[in-house]
Amino acid sequence: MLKTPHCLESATLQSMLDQTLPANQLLTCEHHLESCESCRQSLESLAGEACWWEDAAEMLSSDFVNVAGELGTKIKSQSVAKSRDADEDAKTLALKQVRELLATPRHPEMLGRIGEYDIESFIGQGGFGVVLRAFDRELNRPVAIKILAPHLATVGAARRRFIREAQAAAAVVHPNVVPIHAVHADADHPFLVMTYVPGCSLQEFVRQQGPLETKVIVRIAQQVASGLAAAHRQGLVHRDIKPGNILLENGLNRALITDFGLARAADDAASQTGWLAGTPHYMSPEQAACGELDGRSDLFSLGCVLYFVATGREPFRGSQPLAIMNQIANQKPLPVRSVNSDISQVLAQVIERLLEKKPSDRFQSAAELSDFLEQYVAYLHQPETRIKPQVPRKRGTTLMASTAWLGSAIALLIAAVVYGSGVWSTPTTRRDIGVAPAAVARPPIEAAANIEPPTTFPLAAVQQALLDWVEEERQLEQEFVRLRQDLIAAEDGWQNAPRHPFFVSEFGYAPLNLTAMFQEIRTEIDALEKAAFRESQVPATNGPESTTNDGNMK
Amino acid sequence: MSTDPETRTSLLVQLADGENQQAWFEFVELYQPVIFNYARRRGLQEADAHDVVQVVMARVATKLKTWDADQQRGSFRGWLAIAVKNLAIDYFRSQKLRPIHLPELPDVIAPAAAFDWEQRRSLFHWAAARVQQEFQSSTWQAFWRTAVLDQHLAQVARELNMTRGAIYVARSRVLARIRQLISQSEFDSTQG
Repeated sequence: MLKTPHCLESATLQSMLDQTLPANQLLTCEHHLESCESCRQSLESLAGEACWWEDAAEMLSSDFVNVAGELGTKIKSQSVAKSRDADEDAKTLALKQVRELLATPRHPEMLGRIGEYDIESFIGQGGFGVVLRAFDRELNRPVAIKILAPHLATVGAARRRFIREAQAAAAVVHPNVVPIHAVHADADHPFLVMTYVPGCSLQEFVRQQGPLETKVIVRIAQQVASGLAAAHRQGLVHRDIKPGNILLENGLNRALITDFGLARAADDAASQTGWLAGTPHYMSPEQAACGELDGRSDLFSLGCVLYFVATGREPFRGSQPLAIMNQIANQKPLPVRSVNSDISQVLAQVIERLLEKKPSDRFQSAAELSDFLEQYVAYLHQPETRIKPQVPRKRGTTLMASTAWLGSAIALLIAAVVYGSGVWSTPTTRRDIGVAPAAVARPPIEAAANIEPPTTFPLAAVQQALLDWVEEERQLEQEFVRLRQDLIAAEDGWQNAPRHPFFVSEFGYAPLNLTAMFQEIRTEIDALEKAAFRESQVPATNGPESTTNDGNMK
Repeated sequence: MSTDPETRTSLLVQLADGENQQAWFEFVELYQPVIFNYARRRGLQEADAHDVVQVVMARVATKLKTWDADQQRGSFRGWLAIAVKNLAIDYFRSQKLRPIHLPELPDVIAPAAAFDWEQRRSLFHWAAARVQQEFQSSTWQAFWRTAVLDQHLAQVARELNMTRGAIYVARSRVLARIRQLISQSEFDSTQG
């Protein structure tokens, strides 16, 4: 547009931005802007060049999370809500679409027809599709039909994988694997026909009945392991072993694995559509890291299943998939027996071994696990005549739990300082040690106080032990040896820790220098040992000076 | 400082200058989200991203010792911006942090460019939060809805009960102020 005599001077435009233009003039100018493209552009580039406008739109509208985990803008929460709705919509839609693609039923009590099969009812819905109960008229038997979900059927890779995996799974013939009768690849919506297993899934069973008893769990575990071994022998990894995929025929008589390889089809779709398939609760660490998978990945998942069956809760829990996956990769679950003490030690060990992060630390094959469990089942039924099998030892040494060193460090620190202050300040009495007035002012304590000791570390026990030392001095020597070992272990843990702790000061974050602290503890332990042994022989009146000297000598 | 020498760290000595203290506070506010979002974007889980923030911030705090106002050209803020960027990228490299790979998280090709992008984003949000306080709600809305959300101008004008001309002026004022704040912030890691 051309400039007109009414057009605004750049000084006027600037004063509009600065809010220095008188109100009456401002109204006139605003009115002019409405009809003058040229002046609008001048005003906007005066405010900021085009790149500023573009950046403002891009930067401010993108998902921004401030460090407290809060959402930086309202937009994000809207889009999250929207996508959640979309998720729900997609599910409802899947059901609706499946209903639509069924041919009209031949019988009024049926839902519809697919191929030669009369659909009787919906059984459920998995990550990849819908499960229907149907009747095979030719062979006069009930069957279960899985139809690839409409949203996956359109993804070529998912569709091809669904067919290929189903064909591979059909080749696995084993009493603990749900047989696949047919794979219909050519239909618009590929589907497969399986034996209908009367009963419910392990998931439903545990949800209704709660944790199961050792004997039952071991039997189910053995059957599943045996079924997995058959599939692994054919090079087929299940990838999605979870309680929902283990069916219990007529109560607890027989466990059957279903959905072999189908997770892979869902994965293909996920990588193209952004859908995260199902729950990651039973994923193996190598799956969470998108690493190479072999049968041992299924063994980890089976470990998660057994943990769930034994305790009624998943070993790795979190509010969102990423949190769970992180736990799977980095954290050790609570020991089974601390959740359910009725579980036998051997079973707890088996589960623990299956949940090892490194595949090489687990049972090395489903067959090995199955054999072991078979022996154990036999023992459980005839404990008098059978030998209790021993869970095979893991190769290599046990590493310290990732956070245990921190707990030890803190306990040591408290131990050293609490005990030390008693020796230092006054002749030793129980009360002095308990109160430990001097300890508060010491800097390492302040630093350590900002770190919560892991709850598993028996801090109270250590403190109690310290009190006992005073009364039972003859144990002291042994205790000091232990204290030193703990110190070494704690220091090793610190050296090898992937992340070092920090403390928050009023100025933000500052590093916590534990190297110096460990040295300090070592010096203190040395001094204490000398002081303590002197006290056990010499009356306690031998006071602060000598102790301090000993400390300095080190 | 003399009241409780043991709890004071060398940090305070470095930040004795009041202006630098202010800069440090701003820095912490501005860069925690930068590091956090950067870590998240590289595929780290939320708790791990928090850890990265803490480690990197701790390292910057340690590095404060090396800041020398007389020797270094440029501002303390500019220096901080470069320091944190290098430390964050180095940390990722040294730790070989294996991100959980998810399709929704795009691969980051150039760590430095990704960090700059996060930094600019944080600056915009930081500035926008301040500017929003300075203006009347309707002025802010005029900017937010037409310039950021890209809503239809006539509709926004109607809903805010403003003339279209007033919307033009309002949104330009807001942008000018955001630009001013960002330009003056001196946090710029791209100079290094």
